[in-house]
Amino acid sequence: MKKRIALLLLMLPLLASAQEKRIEFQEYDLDNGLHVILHQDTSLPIVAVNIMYHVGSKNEDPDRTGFAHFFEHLMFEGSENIGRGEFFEYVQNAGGNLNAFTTFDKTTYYEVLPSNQLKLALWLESERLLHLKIDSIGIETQRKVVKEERKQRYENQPYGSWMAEMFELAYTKHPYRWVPIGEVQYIDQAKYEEFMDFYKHYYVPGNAALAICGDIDYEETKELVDQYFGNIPAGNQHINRPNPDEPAQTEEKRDTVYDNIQLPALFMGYHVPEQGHDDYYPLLMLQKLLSDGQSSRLYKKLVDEEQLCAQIGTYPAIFEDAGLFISYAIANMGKSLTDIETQINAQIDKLQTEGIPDREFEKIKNIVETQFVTQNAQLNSLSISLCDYYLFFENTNLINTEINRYESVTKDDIIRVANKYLVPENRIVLKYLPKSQDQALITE
Amino acid sequence: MKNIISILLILFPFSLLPAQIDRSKAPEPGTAPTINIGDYESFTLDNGLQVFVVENQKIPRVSYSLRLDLNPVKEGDKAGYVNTAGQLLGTGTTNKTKAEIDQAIDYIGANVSTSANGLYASSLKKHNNQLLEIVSEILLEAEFRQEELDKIIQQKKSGLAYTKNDPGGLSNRVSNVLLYGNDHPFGELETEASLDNITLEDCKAYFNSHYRPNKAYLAVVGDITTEEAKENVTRYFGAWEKGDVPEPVYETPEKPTETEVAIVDRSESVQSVIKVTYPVDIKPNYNDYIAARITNTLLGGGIFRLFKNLREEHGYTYGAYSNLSHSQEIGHFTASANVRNEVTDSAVYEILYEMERIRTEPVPKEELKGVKTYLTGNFALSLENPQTIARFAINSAIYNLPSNFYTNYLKNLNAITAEELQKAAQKYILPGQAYIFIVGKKSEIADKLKRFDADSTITYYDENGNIIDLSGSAVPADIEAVQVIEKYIEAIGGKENLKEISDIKTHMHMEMQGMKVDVTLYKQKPNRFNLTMTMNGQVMSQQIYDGEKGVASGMQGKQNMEGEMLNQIEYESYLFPALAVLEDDVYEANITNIEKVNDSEAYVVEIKKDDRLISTEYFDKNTGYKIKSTALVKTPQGDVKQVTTFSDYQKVGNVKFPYQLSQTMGPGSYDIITDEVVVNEGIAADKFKVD
Repeated sequence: MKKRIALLLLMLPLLASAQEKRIEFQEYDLDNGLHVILHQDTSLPIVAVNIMYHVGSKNEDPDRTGFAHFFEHLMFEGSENIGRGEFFEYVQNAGGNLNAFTTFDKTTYYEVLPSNQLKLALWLESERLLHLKIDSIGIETQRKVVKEERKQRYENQPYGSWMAEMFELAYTKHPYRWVPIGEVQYIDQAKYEEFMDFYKHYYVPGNAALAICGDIDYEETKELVDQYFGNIPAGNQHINRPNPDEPAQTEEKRDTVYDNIQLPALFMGYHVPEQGHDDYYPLLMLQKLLSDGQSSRLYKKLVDEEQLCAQIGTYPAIFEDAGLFISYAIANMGKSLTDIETQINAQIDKLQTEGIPDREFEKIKNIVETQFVTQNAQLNSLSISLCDYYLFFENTNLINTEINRYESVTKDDIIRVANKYLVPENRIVLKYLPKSQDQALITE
Repeated sequence: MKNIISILLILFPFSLLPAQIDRSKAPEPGTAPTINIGDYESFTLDNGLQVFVVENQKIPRVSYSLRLDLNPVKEGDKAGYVNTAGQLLGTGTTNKTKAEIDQAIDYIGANVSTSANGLYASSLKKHNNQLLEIVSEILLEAEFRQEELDKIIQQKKSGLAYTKNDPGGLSNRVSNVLLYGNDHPFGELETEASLDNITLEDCKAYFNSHYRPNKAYLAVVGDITTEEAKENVTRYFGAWEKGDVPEPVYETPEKPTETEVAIVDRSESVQSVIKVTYPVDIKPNYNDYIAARITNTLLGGGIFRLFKNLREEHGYTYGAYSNLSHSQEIGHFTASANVRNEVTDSAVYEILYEMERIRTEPVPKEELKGVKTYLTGNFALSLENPQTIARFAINSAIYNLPSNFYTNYLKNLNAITAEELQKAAQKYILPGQAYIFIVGKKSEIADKLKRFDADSTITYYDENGNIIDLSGSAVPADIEAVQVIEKYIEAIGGKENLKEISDIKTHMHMEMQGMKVDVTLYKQKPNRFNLTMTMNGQVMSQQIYDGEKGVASGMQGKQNMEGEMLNQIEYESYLFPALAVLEDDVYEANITNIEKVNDSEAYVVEIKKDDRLISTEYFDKNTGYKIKSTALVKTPQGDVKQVTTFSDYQKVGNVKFPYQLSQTMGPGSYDIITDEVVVNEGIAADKFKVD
């Protein structure tokens, strides 16, 4: 009896502490449509400012792939009041860091600074939203820089092209069929007028969310946001959001790429619905079941037991529109992709037919909880998550409650989505083989 | 009355005219915040384990990071066993298999990783005890097993194969050899051979003699009080036994006496991975450590000089940075950038220019202020991660730093003058004593890099950091593939004589599994081809091309040639394919390299049609003869590289033919001997009939 009481007592503080970790925030819209999210954390004198625009490579023309990302580079070129090269310097000389990134759906810009420099970050971000200034020197320099980025990250990297190859195979109509880095020929063709048209269309307050997290005073910060962003014209109200009906895939697609590699690799993509869909959370749990941790099904079987792979993983490439559930494997020396594919498929079969033991299901839930609790430990990632939840899930408070959506997933849900999506006719299989195996050549 | 007006005026800007800010210049910062380094507490267990506790309740998580303060180990022909021992840790205990350990870790959503000189473990606070139980068991009841060793070795070999294709990984790998040399443990590289030499005993011995609490620091960070930490650590690590740990000492690696250019040739590279690097003796307890750090930041930190110059001014790269790193043993300076092949020399020039400039020109006042503010701000930002405080504590212990080193850090940093900075630059930034090390495509970059080397000689390294002799082989800019092919044609008889020939019959023989195989090759103008292999008069295989269609037949049946196969046989069907390359625009030939074939130097010429590689041919630099060719052949077992060498050129009429061929395909190697070459005697048309 005494033992039981002790257990209860032990559990109470846990519940209480889970409650304490709620992330408080305030959010509102400016008259021009800019959505503002504020979160106060006074534990350190620093502040993170993030502005996320709801525009990405999906909004590009097929003959201007790479454009949204190229434009992201130009956003550092300056404004009416900021000269070329000064943008970086302002942040750096104030003790801060900055960066930006572009995905299929969004482009986001951030600064992390000592908190007495909040005004500077607001001035910089409002300047480039209000009146960006780019010139031909900037365009030509960044054109080269972007092409070097492409080489460094993709062309000069083993397997570097896999994502481009996979998405090109997977989609026939939807603009996810090209990846944000784009094609060199279109990076070469992009022009000043096109950049300015893109800027006027997409870079308007109503198409963005601004998050400010850190050592701030709510009222003072609202005042500052109003001063810097309040009189930016609302601008274009009808944002182009292409989402053509992608015809359902009815049979398996396969392709082989010859690369500068020694270890063959296998990439499989399965069509899955968009983020926030009823099947979204079961799919994320499925991902953890298959490949999170060394006790996960794929790692244990293919890396530890059969030793077929040097690396294996699954990755939910799930976005605003329907995406892909990816599994990838890099073969160990001398192992065949055929065996790897067979074993992966056998693991999926086993899941579909035999289900999930209780203890394994609990394990997945514990992993989800740990990841959820620890993911926003840094103010910068927190500010990005807040904007993301607002723009793409229309619910900023998911920063606190998304865990409930995971918790409501049942074992049957996971098996249901595995049965529904992880089937041959729904997949794309991409093999990477060494270039030395390219081309059948006949010689005397 | 006057008072009221002034109050109103002050109020106005806030209440009525919110937008009246001066956009024309950057806003002034508010009062600089005080930066408080968080507190930590420390205690030492009886076994010598030193523990630092940093309490931080922002997230209900606790992490344990163990760091052993060890001298590096010279591994010799077993390079890799130390790391392997670190990886074996956590794969077995006296009571648990790897699968059981993995299961226990994942079940509580924890992270645990191990290495040769430490481990890291974290979990949510509520799983803290289970986490410690596993970690303690991994450490105190470790049992290394052969099957896990075998797995790790195989993984490491795959890792090596990966690294050899990853230019960044290759650069890091080989630069260790340049920086520290083979005599220092830091310069030892894992190779396939060294991995094969590693035994379970080596790993056990390393673990037993090095993993000792009296050489260890443990940082406990997160949602935990010192009292709890003390209780936990004593309970779970108190039984860890101390021991004598070897402390070998090594000669300090020297920097080069003058600038040396070194290249790892990676012919598929579209970018050069540049490193300007040399070993540096720098430690946090040196007087000029802070000045040296500011110098390096100004040169290549964040978005400072290297980034501005190479990226924002020249568009050479996505990013250019420098790094001045320290370790207890020896540190290094490295300036690095990835740049497209054609600007490699220009980028090296700019890096050296910036290194020289920081030594010779005093840093302007504004720039000095900027870099100090940057480092001050980043110091504050780094405190967001509670591990930073633990790192400060451990560094203080390891380097024996004064107790106020980190609390006074910002004060000392802001007191540094431009003169002190320049002095540090002259001591630590050494463009004249650096390796200019590049992983890239030699044929496109090497010639223009010679000028940076003190004696204009480039040293070439292979992927294992061995010096290889490619020195004579930079392709001279003044020779083209056409000239090489013309020289070959001249060598075998000249264009005129070659064109006199309208058919060739070549009788050859070889041995296959102890049996004699007859090989007959028929070729007829303009491009018909028949290759027949017979054994005891029985046709084993036949390849025929009639000028348009090709067919291959053998024991397994008949196959129409398509795509690459067809392109290939079409090429080979010319009486002299080299003539076709000269005269037919569909073929493109390029010199890609100069390589040694047996004892001769040869031009490597790639023959392409429609941008697809058909054949790679090697022409002797002196004699002009074709001495080797490589191609890929489709077999039932997959695609195999076929290498053919040609020798013993003999005159038949006015034209020379190679009488000895040697062919390797996969593991097999065959000598093919020519018995007779017959020209212009006519060949029946049905020899070239494709059904």
